[in-house]
Amino acid sequence: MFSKKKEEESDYERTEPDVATNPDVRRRKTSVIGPTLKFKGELSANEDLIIEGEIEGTIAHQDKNLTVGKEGRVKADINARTVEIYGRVEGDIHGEDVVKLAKSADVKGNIYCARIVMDDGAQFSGSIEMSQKNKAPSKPTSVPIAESAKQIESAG
Amino acid sequence: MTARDPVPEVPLRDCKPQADEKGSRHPRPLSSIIGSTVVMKGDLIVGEDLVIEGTFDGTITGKGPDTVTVRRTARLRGEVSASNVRVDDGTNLENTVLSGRIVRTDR
Repeated sequence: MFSKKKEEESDYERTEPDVATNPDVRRRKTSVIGPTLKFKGELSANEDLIIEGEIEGTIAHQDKNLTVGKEGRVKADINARTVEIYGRVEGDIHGEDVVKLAKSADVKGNIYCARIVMDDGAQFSGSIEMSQKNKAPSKPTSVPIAESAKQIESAG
Repeated sequence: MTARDPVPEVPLRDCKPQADEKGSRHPRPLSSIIGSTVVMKGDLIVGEDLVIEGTFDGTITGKGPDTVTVRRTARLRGEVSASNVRVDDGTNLENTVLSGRIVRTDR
């Protein structure tokens, strides 16, 4: 029983982003809302954002990645390209690409996204609406159409 | 305060040598960083070091002995109150009221 608990903790350590040693944070490509920070109002950003503190209001964070850490508490609607939740969120989540809920996540709200990943143990209350229209465009294949048509003909 | 008001000067009596400030810093690996593309409007309370590079409109209150650092790229409007406030030289502080131990830096 104890070994299982230890295994769960180590699993969490693998998945939880290490903010302090994150190279993007050191290079200032990522903003950090620290664990003691409380903010009430409107927040928008055009860079990756890690929330370990408390945010209440609105978060407009399009085209970038947003992470709510294990200590993070958010009461706001969230818009971002990818959204990773390890903490608590009350509000709707709009993920242009993917929304990930870790097993420590506690989400009350609706999720709108192209893809969703939900770990076993994640707490979720709301609805999920998946739509391909929000999915980021995939890279074009390197095979020209004419060439691929020949391949189909030869196979047929 | 309106846009017509003069830029507030940092009182010299509040300036302390940077060496004094180092002694009060905590060896924490993490502080809050509001990056250059971040825009925030509202009220903020923080109990750790905070670096502001982006735009903030509202009140910032530092709880405890930590430092609020305002980088040159920051655009502030409102009030900043903290034990220690470091401001890069050349930062536009129009429409901003600073209070606490204020230090201008050359960075």
